[in-house]
Amino acid sequence: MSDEILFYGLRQDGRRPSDLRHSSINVGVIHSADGSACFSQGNTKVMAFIQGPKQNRFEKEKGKISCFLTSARFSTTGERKKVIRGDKKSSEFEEFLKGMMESVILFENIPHSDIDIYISVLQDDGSVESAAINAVTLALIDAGVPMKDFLISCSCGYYNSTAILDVTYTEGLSYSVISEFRIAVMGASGLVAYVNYEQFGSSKLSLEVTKELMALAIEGCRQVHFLIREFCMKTYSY
Amino acid sequence: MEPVIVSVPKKSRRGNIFNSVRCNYLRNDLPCYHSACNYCMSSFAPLKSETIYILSFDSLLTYFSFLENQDFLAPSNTVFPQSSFVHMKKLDLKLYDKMKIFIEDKQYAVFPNEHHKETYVPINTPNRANIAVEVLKGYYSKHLPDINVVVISNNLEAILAGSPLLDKLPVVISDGPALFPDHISYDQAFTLIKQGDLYEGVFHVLREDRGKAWVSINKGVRAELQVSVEGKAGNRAIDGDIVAVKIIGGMEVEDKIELDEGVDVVVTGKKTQKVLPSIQAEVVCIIKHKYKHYCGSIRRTGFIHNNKEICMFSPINPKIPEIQLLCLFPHLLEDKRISVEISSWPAHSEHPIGHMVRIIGNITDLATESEVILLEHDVIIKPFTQAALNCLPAKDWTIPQEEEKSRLNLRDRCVASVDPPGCKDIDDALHCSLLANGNYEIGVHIADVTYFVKANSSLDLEASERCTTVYLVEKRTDMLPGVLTEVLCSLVSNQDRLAFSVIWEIDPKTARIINTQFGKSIIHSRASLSYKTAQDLINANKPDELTQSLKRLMHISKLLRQQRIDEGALELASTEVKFELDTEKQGKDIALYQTYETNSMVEEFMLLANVAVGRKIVDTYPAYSILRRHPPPKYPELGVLASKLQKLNYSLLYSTSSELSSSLNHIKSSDHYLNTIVRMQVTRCMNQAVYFCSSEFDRLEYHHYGLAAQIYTHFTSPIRRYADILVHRLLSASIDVESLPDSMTDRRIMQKICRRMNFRNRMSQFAERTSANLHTYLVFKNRGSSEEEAIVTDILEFGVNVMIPKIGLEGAIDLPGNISEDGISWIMDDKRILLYSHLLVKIEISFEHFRKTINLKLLKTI
Repeated sequence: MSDEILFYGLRQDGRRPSDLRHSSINVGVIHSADGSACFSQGNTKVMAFIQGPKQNRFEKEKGKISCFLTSARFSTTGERKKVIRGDKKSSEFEEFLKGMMESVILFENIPHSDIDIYISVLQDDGSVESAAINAVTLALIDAGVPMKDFLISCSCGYYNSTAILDVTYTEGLSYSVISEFRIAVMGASGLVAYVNYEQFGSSKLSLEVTKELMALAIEGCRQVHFLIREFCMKTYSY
Repeated sequence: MEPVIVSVPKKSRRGNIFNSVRCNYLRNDLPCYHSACNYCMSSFAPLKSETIYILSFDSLLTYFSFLENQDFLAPSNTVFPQSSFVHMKKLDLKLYDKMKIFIEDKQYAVFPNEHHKETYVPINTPNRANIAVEVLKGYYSKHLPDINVVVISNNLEAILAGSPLLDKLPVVISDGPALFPDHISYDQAFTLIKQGDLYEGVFHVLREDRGKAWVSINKGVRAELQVSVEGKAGNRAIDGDIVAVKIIGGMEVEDKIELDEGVDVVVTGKKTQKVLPSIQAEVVCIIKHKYKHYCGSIRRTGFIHNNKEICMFSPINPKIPEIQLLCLFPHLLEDKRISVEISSWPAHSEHPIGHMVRIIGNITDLATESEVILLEHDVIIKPFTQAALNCLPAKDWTIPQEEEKSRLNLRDRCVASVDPPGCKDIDDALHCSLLANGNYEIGVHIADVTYFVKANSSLDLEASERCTTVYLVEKRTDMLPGVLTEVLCSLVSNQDRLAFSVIWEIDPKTARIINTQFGKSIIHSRASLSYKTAQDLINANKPDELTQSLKRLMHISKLLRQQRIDEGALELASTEVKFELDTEKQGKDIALYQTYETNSMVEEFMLLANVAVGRKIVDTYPAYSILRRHPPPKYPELGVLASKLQKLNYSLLYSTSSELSSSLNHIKSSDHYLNTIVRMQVTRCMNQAVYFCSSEFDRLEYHHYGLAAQIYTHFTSPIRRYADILVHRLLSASIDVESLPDSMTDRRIMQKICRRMNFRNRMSQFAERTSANLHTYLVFKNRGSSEEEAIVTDILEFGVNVMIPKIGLEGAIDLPGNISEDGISWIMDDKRILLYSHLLVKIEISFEHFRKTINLKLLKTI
């Protein structure tokens, strides 16, 4: 299937290799949560809710972050999803996200407080993890949690010696060397916070390809950062 | 960019229906590919002419073979719409793949109308594929008002009126009374196969009788059921099609009969009689047509239909039925070999309807016949693409400075190559020098082809398609371009060449290997010898370095050979013949291929190198190594041979390879040909050796039966075999010279390549044999009929099978009389012809029905 990913320079959905999908941003979607955001990128749609900062029970100096990732049963592009929470992949991601957020949130400004992050995937068309990170950043902003920087994420893939940005579900399915290469960067400073990729079999990622993918993904993150920053300027300025 | 959400219901693998939702972005920055357009400014603008043709999907399906062989619809005036292309893919995946390669090669314009804002047609539109083409036509007429736009669907005949190209078009013939039952639809067949009412299998036609066929049905992993299909029950299936069959009788008898296809390529009519399985079946649906071009000649009938003459095309392959052609210019095709494609086989027609693809040449030309042999065996004969040729270095290329530093300098070693006379693509060379401690240093140097053929370059992809060089008697079809095979890689004498070397330290007394070393090197060959000159040098025994080196090599090779035979390696025989060619490259004389001791000397060191490399790469890459295995022989057939020999008081034991090897050595008689013939017959009972990816099999199954080697691979001929190129890459990665390319760490790709290499390899063997038969025919055509001594090799139902040892020709003789009860002699009048007795036969040639055959006739017994 891998040869169909690029058809005379265009991808299955008509994008060029380094095009992002259209994304839309919505904040304050749920009023009962302290902060909420909905981030969609093409057909991928992720919602994030924040509860907190709230006082922690044991009055520890440093607060605690908890993450919960749930997918809707109807979220998948293919058949109904069987496991909606707690599978290996999402548990791993929850841990990663917790670590990343701990490094971004300024806990010294909000001592003795906990933050709960709830993520629900409404529709999964590839790059869910990246969309989730972006949604969480927006929800934290909406909740008014003090943060060092925006945490922006983007994914890319590598097919038949071409790097492509923002992989969809079908592109991720096709058999190739690298299906989803995800990175998260600090929006303003450009520091890389997280790199993760999936591979098939025991194939290895060579150094040149890694460099190419990193460069493309960072460029993608810059575009997403621009979008999110513009949105925040518009929404939160008085 | 503007997104459209496309939601289509789809069927999952389990059979559930779900909505597949995806985005489609419509762009307005796509060019129109016409060079006259001032607005688009595209760098790639192949369209130039005043009239442009847009191909709809039905024209792609019907006219593809026409497209491949013409210049009317050139890249300068033809547009392939993406929608037709994608629609065609749903209908015929194999044709889609072929077309993709064709379009990329010729640089046709493909218009992405599915993603263009002005040409997008919503997904639920009825008859979408055709409307999309009309919309595209509208776009082009609006965008380029001066240009005439024509849509080609089924109207090509009208467009081409009066041109000789018309004969190449497939024809549609009106109805008549149905001679065959209708095929059921594919979906229906698929459901019935799932329920177990029908079976899916490959349709094989019997070579001797086209009316009889069998279908091999795969049941489970390695079990196979065969059913026979006779006469009209074949229902328009052609050899090689994948069909769905219904069992109509004899199901309770579950006997399995071994039928091996293609092993005996004919010289003379009937050879063996195959027993068809007793289960009867009929074809109800053809799941996948085997698309192929068939070579052959036409016979004129004189009947006229719609101003065209009906001609009958008889293919060279006897398994293919005669094909009906409609020709406007039949006189152009008389006495020509042409290639034809089957366009359809309507139910009312006795014969399939075809159309001409191209004229190959005159029937009497040797060049035509050779090309036919290559085409019939799926050998790629088209020239290398420009992209592949661009990967080549300049012809005056010299070894660059950085290679000098990184490689072993072996210029001082006395390296020599030993090959058949006139060999231009020399890929191996040897040396042997004396070390200070009295041991020998022996080196095998193989041309470093992978230095020039980089992984995944166009050249590499092209070579991986071709897989092997095919040697016909008078010419060869190269796997790599001539600059590499004959100049830059060939290890010719007195030139610095890049090599991949295996160097051993060997104890001269016991031939024990003390140390093995692999490395890339630079060598300077002292001499390119032929087997004969090398043998003469050894016999002359001069004191110079070259001769002494060869003598040491010969000494070690004999020790190695003995060791190998003690371990159970088989020495098998085959009839290789050599043709003496005249000035027109036609066979003038024929003789058995003469071998010298140096032949086996070179062979021995190549085996040693292959085994050493095989071990090294499996140790480093247990999952992706390319190896060669030789499965154990077909024991039932060996059993039949052994029982026949038993009756003549020879014993043949075959439970292990060493037992077989030693019992073969004990078959001795006054007739010195007997041993060779028995060895040849044992070879017939062997399975084919195959390439495989090491993850496909268990480690115990890597065994190479014939060579009695635990691990074996091909390393020594990278110029003419693709497997060796892959092994070179694996070896250089395992000694940390280069990193392994990504595609080689992919088991699925490797398995696919192995299957392709095995197929091409088998086909090239058949092609070589057929070419030898053709030249034998030509020799006897020049010589007239002649008489030769022959040996009976088998007793058949209708006569005897004989072999002429002097020229290596084998064939069957039809005889009156009957087979004796014990099956080892033929009774005719009051004479008895015993197995392995000598006969005098007459060799005659005939040319009937455009088939060249050699017939044997019995003159008398000796």
